[in-house]
Amino acid sequence: MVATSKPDSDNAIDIRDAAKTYKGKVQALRGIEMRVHRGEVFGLLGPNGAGKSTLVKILMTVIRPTRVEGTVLGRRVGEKSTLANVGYLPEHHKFPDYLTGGQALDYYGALAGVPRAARQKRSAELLELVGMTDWRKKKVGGYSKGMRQRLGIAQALMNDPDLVLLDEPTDGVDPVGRRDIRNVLTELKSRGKTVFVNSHLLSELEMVCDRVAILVQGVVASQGTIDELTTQDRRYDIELTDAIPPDAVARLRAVLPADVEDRLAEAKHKGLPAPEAIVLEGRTLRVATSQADDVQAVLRELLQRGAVIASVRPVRPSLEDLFMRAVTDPATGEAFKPGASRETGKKGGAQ
Amino acid sequence: MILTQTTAIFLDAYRELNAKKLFWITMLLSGLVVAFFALLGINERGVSIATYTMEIPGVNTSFVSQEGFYKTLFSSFGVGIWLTWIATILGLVSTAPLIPDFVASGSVELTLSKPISRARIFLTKLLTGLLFMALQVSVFTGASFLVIGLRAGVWELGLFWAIPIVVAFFSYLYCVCALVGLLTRSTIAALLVTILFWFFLFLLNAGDGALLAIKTQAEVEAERGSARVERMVQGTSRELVALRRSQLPEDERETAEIPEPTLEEIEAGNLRITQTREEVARNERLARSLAPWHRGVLIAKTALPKTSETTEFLNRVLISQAELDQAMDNQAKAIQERMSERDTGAEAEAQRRTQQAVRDRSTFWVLGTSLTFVFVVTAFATWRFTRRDF
Repeated sequence: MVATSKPDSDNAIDIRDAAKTYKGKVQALRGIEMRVHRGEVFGLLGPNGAGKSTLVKILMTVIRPTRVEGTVLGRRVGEKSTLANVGYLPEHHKFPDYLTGGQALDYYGALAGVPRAARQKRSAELLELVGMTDWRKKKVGGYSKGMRQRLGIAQALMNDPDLVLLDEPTDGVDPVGRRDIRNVLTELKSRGKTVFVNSHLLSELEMVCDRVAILVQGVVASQGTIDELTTQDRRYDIELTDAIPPDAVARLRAVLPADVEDRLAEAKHKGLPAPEAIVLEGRTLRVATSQADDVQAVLRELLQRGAVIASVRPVRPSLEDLFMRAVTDPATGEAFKPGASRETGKKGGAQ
Repeated sequence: MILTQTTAIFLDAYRELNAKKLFWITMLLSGLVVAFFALLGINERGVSIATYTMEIPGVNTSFVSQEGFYKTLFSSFGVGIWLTWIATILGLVSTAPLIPDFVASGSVELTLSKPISRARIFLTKLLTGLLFMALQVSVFTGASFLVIGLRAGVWELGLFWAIPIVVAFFSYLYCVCALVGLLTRSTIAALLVTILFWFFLFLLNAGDGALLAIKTQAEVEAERGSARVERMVQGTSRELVALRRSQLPEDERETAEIPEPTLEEIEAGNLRITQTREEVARNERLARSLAPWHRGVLIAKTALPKTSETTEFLNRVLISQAELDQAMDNQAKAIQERMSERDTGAEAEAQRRTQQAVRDRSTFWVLGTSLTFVFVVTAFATWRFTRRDF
């Protein structure tokens, strides 16, 4: 492990070149660069085997990285003392069945170094927060999956951490529970905590995350706010009552402001997927811009040509669209096979 | 913070063992064994169980004092059988899941993500297993101390040596159990390998004991045979001289110089000399041929824990050399009643020398090298735990 870095007050997590190769030369991570700002809710997405849990486990010292540089809460990655200020909910976590909910919180709170008096007060508050007060004295062995998950979240908060890493927090939780967990995340954010969520449930993340990163086969495919990530894919769909001839599209492209084409060319130049400026699909014209002003010239041109416009609507891709695009092999148009290693791929990701 | 974390790990281990019920079952069985001790006694006729007396030759207050009886009972039965066999098996069954459960997927991440070093977590967890055994032995020894004090009027503080000795004994097996539990994450595999390892140690000890006993017996037989040959040579020589003198005319018998018979003449005069010489040579050959095997076993034992010697160590503390000699004499007398005089002497001497040889093994060799084994295995397990990905 290589790493020393000066404390960075802006970033709760600031890592570069994080790599992990397991036995059998399985490359789980192949040079991750990622920054999580203090006080934000950050979502980590990716298909199975993308390396999400490996990355979280490296940050929590559960797995030793092949190499990593950077800091967590301003201290070198892997430094145990940092964990006093970090909360963690592992995926598929398992509490000892012989403990009651209250005992489990007390035990893990004590391991986090929380004094006895503080543990008692904190466990009561947290059980209340996750709606488990009535189950405090019941053995964990009798808990449902969702209840264990709620207890797990309470456990992760026992030391009142500055940074909370939650690996699949809504796994096995019913819709009401998921809403409750979302509320907890929002509450944490409002208290200035940094939350790092690793999840498959894209709609959940979309509702709470300030920024996301998409991990595919051990590399960051894209990273940023949802707005930033969707800018390239935003468009206006213009639906016409009758079809127009295909050659009309060239004329329409000509009336588009030049900066639209420039933006798309720049994206292509950066290797990012960028659509054509205007595409005709049946009776629908798709204009690759997020600016209403840019569409006005196209609309005028269409009206001058006598076209009848049925509707104009802005389209913003969902997180799922982004995700699907990231996990789809552009060469084959099919999703990458689950698994960690891939022969070629991008390294790192945009900030 | 360290105290808070360590206390939490100990408390959790107690809860885990408590949940398994075996902790209390072992405690209850220990109580029953001590209660059995309290019922046993020794009087001038034999061994008493409550009000019933069982007459056993050589086991009564004429041969063994009440103090010696109870101390031997505690050391041989209480420690030798109960603590180092039955309670150890129960202890292993109880504590074997501690490490595999701890490193189980989904459980270990919760602990490793806390601000506590891996080495400290692992060593503290190991310590909880040893504390389980220490607690069991302490309760058993404390109760035995009271029973022996009340029944025999002897308040023998030396009994408490059983606590470190049995814990050391347990640690020989427990470190292997913990290592296998860590490597395989399987309680069954950990228990199975530990029992096999224990069986291997048992075989090694049995081999050591058998080789030592046969070798010593052969040496004693050879020594005694040589002495017998010497005596027979001298006796036969005298007889031959007397015979030759008797064959001289009566007036020369007193004054004549009779030459000493040659060895050939003596051997021709007593065929048992040659037979005994052959026996001596056979025994010497046997002792010589066994010596390298025994050395090999001892070298192997040096690198491994010495379970039987560790238990025997308590006898050294509790039973003095004089008491042991007395017991050996009593045993010799008992054997004498059953066997011929010649066999008795050699067997008793061989047994005495064998016991002495075992007793003469140094504390460092017995405990030092065994604990070195524990240290090496524990260090390897800890290193493995600190380097492993979970």
